[in-house]
Amino acid sequence: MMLELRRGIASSVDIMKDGCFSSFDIMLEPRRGGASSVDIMKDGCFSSFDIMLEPRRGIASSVRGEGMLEIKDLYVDVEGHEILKGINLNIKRGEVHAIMGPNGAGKSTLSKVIAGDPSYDIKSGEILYNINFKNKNLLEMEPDIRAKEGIFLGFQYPVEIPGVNNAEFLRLAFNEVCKYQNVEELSKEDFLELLKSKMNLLGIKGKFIDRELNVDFSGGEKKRNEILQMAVLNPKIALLDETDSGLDVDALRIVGEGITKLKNREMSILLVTHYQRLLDYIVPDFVHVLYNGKIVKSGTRELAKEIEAKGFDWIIEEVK
Amino acid sequence: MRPEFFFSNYFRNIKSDEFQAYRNKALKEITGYEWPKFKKSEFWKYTDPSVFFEGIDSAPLPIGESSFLNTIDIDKYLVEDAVNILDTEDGLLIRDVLPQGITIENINALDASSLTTTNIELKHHIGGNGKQEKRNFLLLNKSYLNSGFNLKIEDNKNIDIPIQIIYTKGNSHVFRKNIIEIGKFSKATVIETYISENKNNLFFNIDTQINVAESANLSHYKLELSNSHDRIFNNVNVNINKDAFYNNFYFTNGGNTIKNNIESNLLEEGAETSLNGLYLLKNKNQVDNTTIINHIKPNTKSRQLYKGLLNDESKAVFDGLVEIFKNAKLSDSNQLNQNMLLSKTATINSMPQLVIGNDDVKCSHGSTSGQMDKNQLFYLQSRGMSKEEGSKLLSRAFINEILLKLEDENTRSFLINFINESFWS
Ligand SMILES: Nc1ncnc2c1ncn2[C@@H]1O[C@H](COP(=O)(O)OP(=O)(O)OP(=O)(O)O)[C@@H](O)[C@H]1O
Ligand SMILES: [Mg+2]
Repeated sequence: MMLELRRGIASSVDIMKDGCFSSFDIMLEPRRGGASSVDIMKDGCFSSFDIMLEPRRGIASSVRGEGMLEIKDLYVDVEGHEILKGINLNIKRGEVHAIMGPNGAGKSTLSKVIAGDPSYDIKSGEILYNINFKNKNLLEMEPDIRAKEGIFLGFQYPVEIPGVNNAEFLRLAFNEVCKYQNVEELSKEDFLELLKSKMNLLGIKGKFIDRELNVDFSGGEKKRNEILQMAVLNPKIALLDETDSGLDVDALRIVGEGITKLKNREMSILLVTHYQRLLDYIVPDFVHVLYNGKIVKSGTRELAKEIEAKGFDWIIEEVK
Repeated sequence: MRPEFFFSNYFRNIKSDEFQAYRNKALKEITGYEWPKFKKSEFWKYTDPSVFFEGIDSAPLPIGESSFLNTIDIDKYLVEDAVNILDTEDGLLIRDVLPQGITIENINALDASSLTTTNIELKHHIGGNGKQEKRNFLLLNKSYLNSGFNLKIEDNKNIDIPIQIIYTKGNSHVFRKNIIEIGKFSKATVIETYISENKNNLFFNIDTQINVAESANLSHYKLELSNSHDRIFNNVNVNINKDAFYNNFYFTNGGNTIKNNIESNLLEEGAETSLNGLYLLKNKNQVDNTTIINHIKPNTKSRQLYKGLLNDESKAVFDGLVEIFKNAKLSDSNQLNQNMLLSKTATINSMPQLVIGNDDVKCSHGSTSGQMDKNQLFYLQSRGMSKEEGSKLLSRAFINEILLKLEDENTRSFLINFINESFWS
């Protein structure tokens, strides 16, 4: 099937099902480097189809459960101090992994290393990333290429950038990704529409969209802005570093529900959190405990509840 | 180093005796003067004065040369909706009708009448470091004076169309004197535009003297859109009278060696000045900005913001002196110089200085210089911007603040376009 798709624009396509062609009106967003699973409405019902977009756009269909990100024996230094001491982690497509652990354990370091922060020294180990069924060495890719290939980092401390307009920046970033994927860039007007639809979806009202990027945003606004960026950039794997910290109850709900809405069966999530409460919204498949640069325990969501009740000491005792 | 040797054959064919006499008087004063050696003098600590004279005899003679008007696309240098005035070898070409209340005259070496009609000297305070050296560069300006204008704005005129003067004499060394006088309760915007697309390694010595009368408001933009070959010595001296406001914007885009001086005198109560500068340097460009603000009377106010982007092996100097005189109580002054270094080999010397003669003042000054913020850059990259695009965005953001000081929107968009084509291309 060949599709000529414009982001956010409804297309009428003929899809063969059970040997017959039918015409459908569909609305879809081409996903970065991957196949799209689209919901198509016919006769008032939604059906899900996996579709394969034009091959020249580098897009292939996907299978839930295939390996997405594999971290092997990762050792990382910062300014001469060893921070990560042999991390092993395997994330499959569509999975949610939560990482918990005491302050200073190396959780942010891990997420920033995956996103490509150049201030860390990778001593040894590798990170493999699935791009169109091929495992690519992530560590050899520039941070922006990682982003363009679908990795998104929601920062624990989003950076303030004076002089850069929030919405304008998002459009620039979005269009950079479009360019990379060889899809049409969006004009100011079209982008604004997309942005508004994402804000509606997330239930985010915010004048912060027209302000300087993160400058003087409240803690909660910063985190909401991160999620909005994630919604616009539509990643394949989201690394969310304490996106729930500093949020009031309502904001937590908005962010939690927002992530749930954005999360489709294609998207994997690595979630760093100190609290069980976000995991009520985003149910993890696995919970890991990072302590002193290593993953010392892995379990299911029950582990998060146990940690909430008992803290980390008992785990640390076990390690010793 | 003696200036008279460099210009031995200059201006043989001056037609006006009166003009020649004016020049000779100045030349006499500096004849025999030894220019200070590089680094020996505070004023020439970072810029070697001998650079201005190197190979100066080999440049073409100024008389009889046509301007380069025919060889360039002048339109791209014109600010939209301004009265564009081209300063050419044939005099001033005014492209539109001058607004009522403005007169402009040419100061031309060939035309004796320009001297008699022009009040060629304004009385100014000259202070700060290098008083003597600066004076001698200005004497040099007089000695070889060959161009300039005298712009007068009458009292009580609110002129909302900017006046843009574009210098198109650039096939020879330029010794220029500009005079701007704005009358009481008048308001105007004057844009001086230097363009140079030649490769002649020219020497520009430009002296601009300004008087802002009581309650007048003058915005004065100097846009130096030069290539990287010229050497420019620029001087601006401005007197600001009671309740008057003088707003300056100095834009420098490269150049071999540039020394920009500005001295702003807050002569009477209620006088206010705002000095802004932006320099964008690459390759081996060198810019030396020296600013002096004299708070001479009480209740005067000054604001100063200079920003620079330095790439490659470029060098910049900011030497800013704010002096609050003894009886200038309730003076309010704020001075800031900020630099972003885009390469490891660029250098900046920033020296904000404050001399306070009484206690009853409100003053702040400072300077910041450094590389681009790594965390900011990574944040942008993590959203899919290449390192190059991200750096561009951050450096643009860095200069945004200063571009907003250009109140005239057409001038601002003109400059932004120019920067896009010349600095970020
Ligand atoms: N740039 C740096 N320079 C020096 N030390 C650093 C740097 N970045 C991180 N570290 C150190 O590395 C260790 C791990 O930091 P990291 O931010 O990864 O912890 P974390 O698990 O995210 O903690 P928290 O729960 O407080 O967010 C800490 O001891 C921290 O001080
Ligand atoms: Mg952290």
